[in-house]
Amino acid sequence: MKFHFRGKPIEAKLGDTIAAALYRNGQRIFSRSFKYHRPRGLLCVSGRCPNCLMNVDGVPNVRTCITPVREGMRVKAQNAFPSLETDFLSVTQRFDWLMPVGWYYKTFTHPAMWHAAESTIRKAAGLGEVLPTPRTEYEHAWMHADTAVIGGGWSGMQAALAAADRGEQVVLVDDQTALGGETRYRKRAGEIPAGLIRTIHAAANVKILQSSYCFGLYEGNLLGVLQHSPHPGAAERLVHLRARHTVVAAGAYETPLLFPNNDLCGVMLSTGVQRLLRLYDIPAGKRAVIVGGPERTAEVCSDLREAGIDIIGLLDPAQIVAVIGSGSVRGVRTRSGSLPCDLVVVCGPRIPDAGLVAQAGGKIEWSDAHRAFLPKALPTDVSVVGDAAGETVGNTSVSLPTSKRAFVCLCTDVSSKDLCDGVAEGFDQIETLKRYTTVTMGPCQGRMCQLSAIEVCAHETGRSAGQTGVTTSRPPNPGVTLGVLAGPRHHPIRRTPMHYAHETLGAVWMDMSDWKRPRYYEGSSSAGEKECVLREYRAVRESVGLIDVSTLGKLDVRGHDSGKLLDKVYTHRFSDLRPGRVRYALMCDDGGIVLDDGTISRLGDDRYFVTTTSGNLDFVHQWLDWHLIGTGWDVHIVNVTAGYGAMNLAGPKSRDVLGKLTDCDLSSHAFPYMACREAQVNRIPVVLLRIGFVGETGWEIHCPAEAAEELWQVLMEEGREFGIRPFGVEAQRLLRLEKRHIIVGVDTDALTNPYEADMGWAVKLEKDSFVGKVLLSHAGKEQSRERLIGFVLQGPGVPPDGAAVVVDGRPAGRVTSSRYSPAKMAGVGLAWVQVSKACEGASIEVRIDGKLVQATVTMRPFYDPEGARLRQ
Amino acid sequence: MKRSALFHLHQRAGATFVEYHGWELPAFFASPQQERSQVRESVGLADLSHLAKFDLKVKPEGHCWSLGADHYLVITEPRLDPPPGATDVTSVYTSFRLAGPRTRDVLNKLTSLNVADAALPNRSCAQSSLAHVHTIVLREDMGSIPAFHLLVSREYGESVWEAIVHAGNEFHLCPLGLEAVQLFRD
Amino acid sequence: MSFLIPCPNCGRRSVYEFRFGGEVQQALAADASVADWINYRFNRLNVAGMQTEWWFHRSGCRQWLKAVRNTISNEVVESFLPGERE
Repeated sequence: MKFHFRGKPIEAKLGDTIAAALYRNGQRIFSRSFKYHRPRGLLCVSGRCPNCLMNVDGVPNVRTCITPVREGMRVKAQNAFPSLETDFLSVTQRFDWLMPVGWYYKTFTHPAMWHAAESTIRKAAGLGEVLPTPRTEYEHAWMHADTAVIGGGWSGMQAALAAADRGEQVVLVDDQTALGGETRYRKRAGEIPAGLIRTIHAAANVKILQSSYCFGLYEGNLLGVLQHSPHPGAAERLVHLRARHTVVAAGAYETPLLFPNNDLCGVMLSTGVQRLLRLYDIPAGKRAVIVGGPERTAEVCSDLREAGIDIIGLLDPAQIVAVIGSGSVRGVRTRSGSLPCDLVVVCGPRIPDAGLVAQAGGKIEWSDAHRAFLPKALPTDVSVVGDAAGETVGNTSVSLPTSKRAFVCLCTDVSSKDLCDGVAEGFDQIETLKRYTTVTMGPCQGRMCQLSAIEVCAHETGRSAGQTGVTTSRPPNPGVTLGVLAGPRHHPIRRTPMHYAHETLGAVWMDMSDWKRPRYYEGSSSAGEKECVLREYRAVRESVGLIDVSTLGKLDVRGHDSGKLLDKVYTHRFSDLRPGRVRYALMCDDGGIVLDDGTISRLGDDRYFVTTTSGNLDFVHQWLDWHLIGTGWDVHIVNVTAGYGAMNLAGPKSRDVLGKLTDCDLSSHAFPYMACREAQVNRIPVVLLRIGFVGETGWEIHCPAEAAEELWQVLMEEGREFGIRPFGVEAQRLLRLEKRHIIVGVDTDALTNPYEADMGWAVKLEKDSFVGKVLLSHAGKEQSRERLIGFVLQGPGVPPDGAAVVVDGRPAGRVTSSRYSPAKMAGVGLAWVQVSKACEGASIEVRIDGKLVQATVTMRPFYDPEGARLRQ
Repeated sequence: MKRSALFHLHQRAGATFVEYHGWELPAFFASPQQERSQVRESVGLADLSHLAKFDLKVKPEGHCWSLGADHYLVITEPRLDPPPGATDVTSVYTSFRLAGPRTRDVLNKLTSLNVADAALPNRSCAQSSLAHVHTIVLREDMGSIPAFHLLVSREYGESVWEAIVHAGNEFHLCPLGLEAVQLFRD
Repeated sequence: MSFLIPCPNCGRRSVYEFRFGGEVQQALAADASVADWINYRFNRLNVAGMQTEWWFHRSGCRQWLKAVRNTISNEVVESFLPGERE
């Protein structure tokens, strides 16, 4: 296989990760550090340290040591200019004395200084660059398990098989490319349990997620699992894994030791060296110095010798004065002389990987016997097994030299000297020290540095590690791409049955929550929005227009007690509504606050057709259901919103158009304003409501959704001789504003009662009892502070929504809706003002573009105040 | 002629239409045989919006799906008489059949609902969010082939269809016409 | 927040499938005083511990249910349909 690194082709062997292939081809420097741009090479070779992050196919910060090579992938270094080998910014380390711990806090004491320096710092520091256009396909998936096992090592496999034997559904999550855990690269840990692996693969009730890591364990045993390349079409998949029981078997991992220049390329963890050797058949160097205690060095020595690597020396870390080399290791200076070498193998302390337990609410406590933090007090339904519980962990104490070059945190270049300075400056608690120095806050999220940081802090403060405690583990750890959290770019869209008819007519769309609605129709003209809206407005006022109102909420309410329920939840009375009649419906909460409005039509003795505003349908349905609980009433409510296409045919010629298609008598005598009929239009069964949101003669037509497109087209066709036009939401809003019809949620808010909104007429306090009655009758008697009024501007302009109303130079209210009214030939609108100004003819000022414009208050509709046109 | 919410989408996909009880339905997309073998091997998706649906408060005679306390759904072939006391909700839903051995793999990419055999046995139903849309999930295997009948509010039909097709890409999911669906009747 | 709520109709589901409907309150007589109604509308007990609450299963059966939740641990110990325990 071949891939491209810095534009040059690199040969890779089957099974190679990117980092392995690069190392085999002689690459030693993999990245430059965050702050000082120091060269960094492979360290852990297990995806836990920050050293191998590169840009792969445009995705930044990819851990190349665990990412398998794919044919043709393009790999680039990041955070280095001009190259990994020569990075000009590495000069910063010469000025490290200028950048003490807490440098940001000490230097940028004034915002202006930060603004001046920010762009330079942003360029110099940090890691990969984010591509503006995501290229990658991300997926989500959901899984359910009786038992989820995290970790595919010996203990994890045992736990999975035990659960499988009990007949449970098991999901095993392993971050490596194959099962086996450390047995894959540590010869002494035992033979690779081939039989065990075969059994587990053969078990029908065990699902194995390879190359997947669990980044969070949330309430209710929800595990966030990131799966790499689940199939060729996707880069990453986020698995929401819900388990009844979780077994953490994540093992233990090795961490670095502290000595000067412990970060040079060629200083590698012993498990990293073993992984390179056993998994990829790569000897990490030729001549090695091994650092560490006797408990690990014997095994490592034997492995290195077997691989033909010379062992130059075996050192205790306390013996090291410094590692020598610029870029890569050239030798180790000790108190008794120098040892030339190209590899320093660090046998560091092992950390039980139990962060998930802490995330789930368990406790992590220091154990002197293990010299490690171990999970204690496990949350319910979580258990820990193997090295994650400290089974074979037995660390010895380590030396803690204070040096500006002994790096604790490789992610953000925090040295042991920095930590000591931080403690000296008063940040002597581990959590504050963390925030002050940024130790444990980099991409590795403390995996490499947490123990060292705690030990340094403990040493400097004279406390024990147990007293010092551990920093809080929070998900996600390890980090995940934002792209995979966002998932596939699929936002649900609601389309009305006439959607494609609008598209053909040249609709300009607007989003109303998930709905697509025509804002206005551009048609084939090149006219702008204003002109188009005016054209649509004129059609409705002078001839006839047609608008899609399918988004209205529609509820079919049946049963003997339907009227009782509606009387209870709406402010008006509906039990006395005659069949064939429609009434305006206003809904308030227990506090008398307006919740929603709509119309209620009585289609039969026990059958009502309720409409709600588009956005409140679900709420209203739930509200009705809730108020039905415990009543024992015979009511059956069905949400039929999607079942009906709805359109409003409005304008003086609407009767002529509809009359061509129906036998129903449409005369005002037979079919008056606020009446409803079930009828046939063009042989399609419909419900006709004679109502007039836009203020003209008109019918709201509800028909089965599957026939709505046809009905729309027939109406457009039959209306052609009258100059019919489709009209959109923008024209509708202008038309209704001229009639002073309010929109709940636009002209009202969470404090509005009907009296203030000038709709006291819709509240029937004489009714027995209904939701909000007590507080409404109270509100009816109280003097309210504000009223909703209409205003006509005396000067030019149209105020934006929310514009200030000013009286005597003081703020006195706000505009909720405003448009230019062709009928008034002036800007008109609705506004909340103090009650003293809520009278016909009062004078107010409205702020438009910073200027105050005079306006006159009116409490009447701006257009056809008597409603004569509606009733024609 | 009655058109489902997916009519225009089928038209764009090059469907050949047929009239069926007053509905204009896709007879096939590629060929009925090809579509049938795709269902046997992997997974296919059909539009079943024309089936009649009735919402009831009391359990009727015959087979019905229980959606909750005092809430039942009856699904029948078009033009059959509604059960007494029912509200006709045929037009309220866009409904799909997702069928084939990879059906569960597709569903697991779209919903948190547990659709494993033990959690949702044949002839049982559940409701959950699928592609971010409330969905009634009815398990109705076609012989030995796993199959699910999915109902979403009509206006979401196109959006959910596209989400299912997208999730099914890795399994080469194909759209099914009426003919392929009827081939599995027996 | 990802705890599970056992729905009497649908079984254990993620809290994301539900709408919170507030704590279950003592019903008020229709002719109760203004002060009582204001208290009912605006004041809550907000207990730390077991609390009976309204939940609406919007992504599932779309019905109201009552659930007893420990507000400290978010553990829902039981749930039932509103008619079942009155």
